[in-house]
Amino acid sequence: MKEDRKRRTSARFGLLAGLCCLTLAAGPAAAQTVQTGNVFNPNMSVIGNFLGFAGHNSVDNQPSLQLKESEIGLQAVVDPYARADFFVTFGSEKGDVGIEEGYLTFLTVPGDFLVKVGKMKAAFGKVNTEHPHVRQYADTPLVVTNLLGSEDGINDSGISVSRLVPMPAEIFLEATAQIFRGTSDGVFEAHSRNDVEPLFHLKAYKDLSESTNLEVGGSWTRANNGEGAGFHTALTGIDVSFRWKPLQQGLYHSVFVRGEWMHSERDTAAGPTVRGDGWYALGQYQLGRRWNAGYRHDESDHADDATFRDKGDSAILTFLPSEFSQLRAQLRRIRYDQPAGPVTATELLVQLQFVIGAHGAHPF
Amino acid sequence: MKTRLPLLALTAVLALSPSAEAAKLKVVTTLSDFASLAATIGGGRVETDSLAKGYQDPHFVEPKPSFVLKLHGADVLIVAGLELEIGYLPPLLDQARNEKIRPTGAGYLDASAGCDILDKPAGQVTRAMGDVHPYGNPHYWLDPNNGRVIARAIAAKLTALDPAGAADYAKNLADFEAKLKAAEVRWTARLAPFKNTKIVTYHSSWPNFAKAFSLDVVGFLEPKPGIPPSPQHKLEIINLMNAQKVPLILMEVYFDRKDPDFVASKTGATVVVIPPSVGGEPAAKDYLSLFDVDVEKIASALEKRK
Repeated sequence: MKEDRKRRTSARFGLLAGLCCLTLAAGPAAAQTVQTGNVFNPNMSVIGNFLGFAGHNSVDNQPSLQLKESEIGLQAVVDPYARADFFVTFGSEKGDVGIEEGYLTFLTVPGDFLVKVGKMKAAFGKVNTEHPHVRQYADTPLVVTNLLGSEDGINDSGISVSRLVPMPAEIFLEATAQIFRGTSDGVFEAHSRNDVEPLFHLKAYKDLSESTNLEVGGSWTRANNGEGAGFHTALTGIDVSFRWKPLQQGLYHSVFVRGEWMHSERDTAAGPTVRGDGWYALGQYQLGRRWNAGYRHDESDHADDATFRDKGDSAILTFLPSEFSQLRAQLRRIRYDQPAGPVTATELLVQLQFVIGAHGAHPF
Repeated sequence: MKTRLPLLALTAVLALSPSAEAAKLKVVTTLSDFASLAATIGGGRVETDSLAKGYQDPHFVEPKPSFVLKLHGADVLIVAGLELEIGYLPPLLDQARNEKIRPTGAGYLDASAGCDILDKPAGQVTRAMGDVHPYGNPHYWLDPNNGRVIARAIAAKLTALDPAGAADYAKNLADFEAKLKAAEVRWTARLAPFKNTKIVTYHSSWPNFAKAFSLDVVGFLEPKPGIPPSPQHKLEIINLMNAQKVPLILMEVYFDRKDPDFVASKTGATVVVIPPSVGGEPAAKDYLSLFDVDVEKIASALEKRK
């Protein structure tokens, strides 16, 4: 009898203890449920680009102070087969909202292919693929605004397929073929569904040594332009980048040199095909852990009249308080070739850029 | 009989040649320390390659396309995890076109699993704290016992991918553990006279090392992780070091000596430059000799001060 009561009491205690455990466990378990809800949310980031202009420019008159662009990045894995990256941008004007990029990357396509589908920056050279905040300067090179239509460059909806090409001597070679709708601000305009834009890009890269490397790329694309159906613009580009970054002192010193040349062949309704070209060359030296100094020379014909050629020079100084913000000053002088005669604009650009949130690493 | 012999030879060649060649597992690691451990455990059955060099800041590795090629051909990828590689590995993995070594793949190994991870921030994490790692301090391989955990994890991973080598991996692991055990006795004895010595380090790379060898890290030259020393902070560190009589500044091989030397000149402390990873200097050629070098440098610097 005594034994029985003992057993019952112990059983009751056991039940109580169990209940206690359950209640205790419910706390963290509930917290975990909330966490799980967040786990599948995309990584979010916001990048602010505040830009100030001082000086005089009658050709491209930018406001004195503006939050030029804010970019919201949403990036996550979709399923075992793909990841998605969205970059929504807000300009300084009311209603100035756009999808800068929004694409799906299929990571497990057989045959070593990498497939992207969506709206994306076309793989035409280097600067065209870069978001403004990863550039080493505050503006856009003249060759992009003049030959690729606008400072946004070629950015369109389409499909991209790229493949690694096996090479000897540890050379990285990637071939990319893309097909776009064929409408990109200021350069291409599709007049029918058949006016798609094919684009080919070849990228070769080699480590010259542990601390130096060389990258060479070639690009070609052709599509209908804004002159009307049957009028085309063909673009060819070559890019060369050289980097020096000693691994042990890499926190403090590095060199980056890039040159990009583009050629445009544009059919016009009024006259013969216009053939023009343009290029820029950039050199940047890292002075210390937080300081970079750079210089860029720009030259570009006008796409619609190659007898006009704009030229510019920029000296750039960048200070990086941390990995997540940077302050930049750029002294720029551009000589715009205008029908009424050349116009020279000397300006000081001051840029403050910052990122909050988990912004994914950028391609090399 | 005549026809069967060449056929047999052919089958033998076909059967042998791929196994002799392809059997070598290609192990790519982000850190040289894991490559060293993988080479020790894998022996002749693996080929190892690390993306970062031992004398390079592991936080700032560039995602070079040549790394894409290495990852493309890899059977195993060993990473430090804890977001140490967040600045370069994700885009490389996306381009590598190799499902095996993606985080969901069979060839992926996060070395931090099961290790003693320190400095896990409590409460809300913001970047006002600098480049803080929300999952804890990623320099955990500098505790020899974590090295033991990682070596076991590598042995298990290699065995799972290459069951034919199970016996080799088990033997190599046992050999390594025996050597590590002996070495731990040696290292602990060498640093025993300096138990609880207060030290200042440049970056917070050494909490696991300090815990393993009973050193007391009282401050950092960086005011916050990833932020270079400011004049104000240097002054604070000088005051702190003078007040607490801190004899040693430990710095990693990839930082500039200027600030540590300045602080040392104002405090009389000794600056010791030690490699935080295998290959950080030529003598630190594998995981065990890395500790030999680090322990000896610290011990002899403290001895000289006596």
